[in-house]
Amino acid sequence: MKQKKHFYFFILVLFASFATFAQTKVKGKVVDENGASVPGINVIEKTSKKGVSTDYSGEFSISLGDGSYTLVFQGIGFKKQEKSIVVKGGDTESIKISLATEINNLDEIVIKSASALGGPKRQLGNSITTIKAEEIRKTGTENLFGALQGKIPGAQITQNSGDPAGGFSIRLRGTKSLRGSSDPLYVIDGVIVSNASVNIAQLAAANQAGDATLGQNRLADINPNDVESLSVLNGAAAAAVYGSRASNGVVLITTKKGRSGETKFTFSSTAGINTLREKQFISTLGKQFGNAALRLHTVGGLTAPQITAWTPLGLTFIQVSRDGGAPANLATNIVDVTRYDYQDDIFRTAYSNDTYLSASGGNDKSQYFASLSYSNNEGIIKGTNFRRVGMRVRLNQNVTNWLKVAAGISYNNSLSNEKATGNVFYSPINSINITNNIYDLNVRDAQGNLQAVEISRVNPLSTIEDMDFQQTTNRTISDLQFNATPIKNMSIDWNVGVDFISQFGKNYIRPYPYNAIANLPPERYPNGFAANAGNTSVLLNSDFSIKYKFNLADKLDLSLIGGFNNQYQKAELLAASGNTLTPSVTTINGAASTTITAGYGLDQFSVYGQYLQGTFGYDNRYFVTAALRRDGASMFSPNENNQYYPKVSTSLVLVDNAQGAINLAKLRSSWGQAGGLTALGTYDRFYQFTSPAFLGVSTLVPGARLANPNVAPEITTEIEVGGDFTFFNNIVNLGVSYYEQKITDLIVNRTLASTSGGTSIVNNFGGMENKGYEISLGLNLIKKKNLSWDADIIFSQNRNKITDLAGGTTSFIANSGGAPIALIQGEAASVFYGTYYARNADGSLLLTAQGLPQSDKVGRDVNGQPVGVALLKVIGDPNPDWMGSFRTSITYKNFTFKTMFDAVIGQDVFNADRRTRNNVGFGKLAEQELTGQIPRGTIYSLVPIEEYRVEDGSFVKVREIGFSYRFNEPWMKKTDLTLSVTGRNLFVITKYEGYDPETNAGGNSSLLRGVDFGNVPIPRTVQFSATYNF
Amino acid sequence: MKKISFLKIIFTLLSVFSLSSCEQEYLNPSTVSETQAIEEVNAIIALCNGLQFRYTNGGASPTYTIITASAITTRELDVLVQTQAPEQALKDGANNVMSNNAITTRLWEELNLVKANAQLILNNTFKIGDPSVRAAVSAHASIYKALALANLVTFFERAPIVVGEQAVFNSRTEVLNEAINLCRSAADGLAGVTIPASFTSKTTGNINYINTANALAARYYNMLGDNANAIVFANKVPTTFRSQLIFDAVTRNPLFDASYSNRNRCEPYNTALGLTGALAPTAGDGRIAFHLKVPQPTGTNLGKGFFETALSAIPFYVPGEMQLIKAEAYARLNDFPNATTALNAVLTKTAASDVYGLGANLPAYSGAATQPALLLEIYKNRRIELFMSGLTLEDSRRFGRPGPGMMGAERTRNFFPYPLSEITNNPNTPPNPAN
Repeated sequence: MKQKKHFYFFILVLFASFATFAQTKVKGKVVDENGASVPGINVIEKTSKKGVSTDYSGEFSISLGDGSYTLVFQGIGFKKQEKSIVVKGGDTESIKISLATEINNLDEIVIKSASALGGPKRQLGNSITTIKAEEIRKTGTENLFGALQGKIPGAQITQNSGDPAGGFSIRLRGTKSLRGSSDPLYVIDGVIVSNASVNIAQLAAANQAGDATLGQNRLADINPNDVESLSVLNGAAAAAVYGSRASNGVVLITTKKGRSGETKFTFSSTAGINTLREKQFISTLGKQFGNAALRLHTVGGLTAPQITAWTPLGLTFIQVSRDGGAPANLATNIVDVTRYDYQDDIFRTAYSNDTYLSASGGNDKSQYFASLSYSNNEGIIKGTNFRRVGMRVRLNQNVTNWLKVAAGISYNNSLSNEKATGNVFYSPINSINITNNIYDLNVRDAQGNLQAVEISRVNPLSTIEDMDFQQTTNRTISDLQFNATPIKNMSIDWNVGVDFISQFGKNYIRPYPYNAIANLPPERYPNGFAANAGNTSVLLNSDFSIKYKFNLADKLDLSLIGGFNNQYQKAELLAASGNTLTPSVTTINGAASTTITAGYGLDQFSVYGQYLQGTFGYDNRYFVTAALRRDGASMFSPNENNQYYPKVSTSLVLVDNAQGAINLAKLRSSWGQAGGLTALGTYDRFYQFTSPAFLGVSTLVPGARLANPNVAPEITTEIEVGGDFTFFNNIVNLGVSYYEQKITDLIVNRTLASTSGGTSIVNNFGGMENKGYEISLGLNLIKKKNLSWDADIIFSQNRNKITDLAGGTTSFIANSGGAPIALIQGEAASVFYGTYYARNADGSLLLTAQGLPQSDKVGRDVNGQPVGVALLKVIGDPNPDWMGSFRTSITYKNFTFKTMFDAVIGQDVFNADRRTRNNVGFGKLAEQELTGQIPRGTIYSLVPIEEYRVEDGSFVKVREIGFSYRFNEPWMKKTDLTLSVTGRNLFVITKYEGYDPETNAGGNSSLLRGVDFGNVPIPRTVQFSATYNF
Repeated sequence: MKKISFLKIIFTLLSVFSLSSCEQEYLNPSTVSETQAIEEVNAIIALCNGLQFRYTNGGASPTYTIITASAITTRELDVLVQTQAPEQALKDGANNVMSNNAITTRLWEELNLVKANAQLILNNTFKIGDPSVRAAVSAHASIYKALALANLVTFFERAPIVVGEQAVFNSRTEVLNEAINLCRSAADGLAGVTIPASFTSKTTGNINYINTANALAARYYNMLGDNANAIVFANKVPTTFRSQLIFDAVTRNPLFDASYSNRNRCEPYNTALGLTGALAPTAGDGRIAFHLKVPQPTGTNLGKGFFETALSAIPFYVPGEMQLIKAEAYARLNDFPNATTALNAVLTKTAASDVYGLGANLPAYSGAATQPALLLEIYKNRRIELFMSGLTLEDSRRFGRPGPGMMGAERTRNFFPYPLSEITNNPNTPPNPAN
């Protein structure tokens, strides 16, 4: 029903006719210095403010009555230019105008939607990265975050999984919180939108995922095609006016809006192929230690009954002891088996398509933009896909000469078919890693049922054929914006936004036909599993601001902005799950009544704030801005409910559009504070007693987490200095920023001695800092009529350190991959802290008497062998040393080539998959142990040495590479057609021994980083697309 | 449109829209606060059920960790899959068991929470008007607190009795005496009391409070070496009642769930229950078929006993334990005839005559009437009769079996290291034991 309504509205807008004026048409064409036509230039008549914009051929037409006029030509990247014309009775005027390019336009208004944050670039005391629509198009992905990878200095954008519905995580300038998300705040056209990951389709895995955050993140609903520009405020100082929610930075997205003039249509169609980039080594050597029935033959100690049973069959074994413990009996005889490569059974070549139609037009009073999109992206794991249907309408109306109203409505429907998350053994990738590959998966009985493989393991094909994890999302994001300029120099803005999400999740595991033989443990739901869940979220926000500009004296201006802001957010989740299913029923209705559990969750909070900001400007070159925001939020206790966030910034334009070696120089500095709300769940300050389902009696269980009713928001204080420079006649653009962030009152879920009556307490115990710098270098190497060549280099480095952690307590982050992720005072967040190799003075491994590696311990015995308790140390850091990217694009006539290399260097990855393959017995080391290249017992000895599992995950990816050709022949009239082919993640340079070091089993979790455990690898993608503008 | 009227409308709308922003405090409708939980009798009874929930539900529960930790360190259970790291560390023993071991950490933490949650109930029983209900609630909470305390010092050298920040550790004797006091007061409080339906209908039942309290007191006197009292309290426990923890399809038997339902974690060591030499079970011992699946169907776990299905109940104590406590106490008091009588009650018991169907059905004891010989036979029978009861580590120490580092070691640790959470947050934590 809702869909239908939206559809009618869409049609109405699309075909609404607009009044035309019986006046003289003034036509013209705008070109650049090289004579190339320039689309998208606003042409505005100065007095009446009547405006149009140039089309794809750089042409425009504007209707004017008789008289003298001044036309103003304005557009991003060009110097503003005015031209006087005279219109006389019905003659058609024709104008040609050439605009001078301006590389670093200081008068460009950034972030029009939030006046307190943005304004002319020259005023801004912080770095703001703005990404334009063309930079996120033809990138080979339908995900907005994917399209941003490598393009924002200081942003680490990680694709956590190659699943088409898989999440991305963005962190700007490092980790900000030890409890909450480090995700920035997202604002689309003034609407604060949700990027939450709600687990409704991975409920089977919920009991095993530890601190991982399961589920898609909801910005997957946004179509990059609809985005006009995107601005990233990396730091707390820049974002201070967003108050309590700004410490992770803010991403402001502006969607496309209509331009006056004839209706323009854009139609594009894309088809793509996704493939597995690189298969992993899986041994198919037909050998095994001990017996074909010996599980984990490389590391499995023989049990007493096995020794009894297999000795007559030729079993031989040695005893290997590790860490002074009881020796294990490891089989040494080798038997023949047949090994298979199961990768072929779960991966496929997958296809994607994306179709997009937009219409834009209007007159000088009303403009509209409408779009319709459909995309379907198949995953490289069989049976997975993500399908998205979207509609969007944006209307702008000049009601009077002092009042403008804008409204936007979007509707999205998305559907994803997933497989179990990597955190459980029945995920497709884990199932092939954890199952000894000596079984033919494709054997079936007469009914076509799959057969058991290794006992207690799931046949990997069951994960493909007999499991269904699906979620559908219906979402609308709507905004209404008023802008009034009732008196000169005053501007009043009021934006109201609503983001409404309704989601349903379906989880189904068919009862295993072979359970009688496989004997699966209950955590794998041998008799089937079904769960259904629904989640409804609504986010409301209202922002009101008044801006007034005073002229205090000659050349001295003061702009004042004051405003207030209310946000309310509510999410209701209802989930029911059960097992022991009735055959063929795939929902909770089929579960045995005694196994069904259900739950309701309500999460709601409100934030309300007021702010005042003033900017003094002298000579339009020197600016000082000061701002203060006061905030309250419902999740903090009433006595912590008045939080003040100040900020001060300066901007000094030393050189302004000069000729010669230095064309522009601007120095900026800022200091500010912002708060973090994500660290504290709505009810975390209460000591809560829950009532679990228990044997049919009412039950209350006191929480293990004690309460601190006085917990306050985390405060990030940031200082940032930097500059923007342009050299050599606008050929070289340089931006540098250095920042230091100190996060105080860090909310820590501090471990307690359980003898105190709880195991943890949430309180403002800690402190953390991020320091780093960001450099962006833009080169406009060639700019001629038929040839242009640009290059962009981005480099950033961040050092994160936990400076204070509740008196030095180390705590561990739970995860199913077994990674020893720790929070340690004096170290970066989420380091790997575990056992490590005992080494000799020269760095070589100190081997046991049996010649096997061992972990280091507190002491040495008389033989120099380690004794005592094993030592722990930091064995890896999932935070990169630095990140960088190199982007270049070359255009020759109608032909464009572009490519981007994206490097993330120095981060460590906990490679649980490689460990698993060796322990199960078909990894590289397993084969070497079988063939005698390494001593028997090596893998067994490596098991307790956690350092062995940590690898350098540095990589350089050919993130994007593409060719396109634009047809705009004269016979095509004013239409044009662009054909392109784009490759994404085609090649990766890395030493990492896994599918991809860019991965994260923790999903969007802020703390669980760099764990490779059963994750779907990011595919290699090639896309072909055609875009037709008419 | 007039500017002024427009602005009026806008400001009116704005004020309406902003009204929602008052300083609202949102509470979670799905949980209750401590104040609500201790305010009225039904909530306090719900807290009693919460104690049982914490004690029995899931792989983190003391029910799982006590039995598993005890069983692996004494070779009752073998670890089938090397990569079950915390279990494997217990099997390897010695320094492989570190302060961050998940099983021993949970064992410590959950028992301390049971203790604290029980104390919360005991602190608020005065709010219950009906003295019978009050006695039942007190007995319930006291028994769980006693279980928590005694199990703490079964696996760790020392433990605090009190609940609090930087709690001071008490000696094993002090802790066990406190546990005994709790058991005795539970039993005394219920003497002559008929537990009213207003309590029984709101709890899971299946707990015979007086018998359980007396049985636990006997067990703890036995641990303390107070043989006379051990005999007195063991004699108070009739053999005809069951008292057990029950389960359903949601709150499943945790040992079944993790171990006995599959062959991916742990399994009884072998058909001799991991015992060798003089301790090896006598041929025809009827208890083997109770504890194990003999013969073992292919692909299934060897174990059975009190963990055969998801719904299998786990007893607080078995009647045979009381006889074995008496046998041991008499033997230590050098009263060999009474020791032999009590031992024979276990040896000759048939499955049919045991309330749980656990019967050795063997001939009477025919060995030497000496203390070492009797104690050896008593230990052997404890290992068989009380297989997978969480008592074997304590028994192995008390009977002086060879410990870690000794020739023919029968256990991989004596006591566990204190968890990191305690060491780093409580300066009163004693040093870790060497083994």
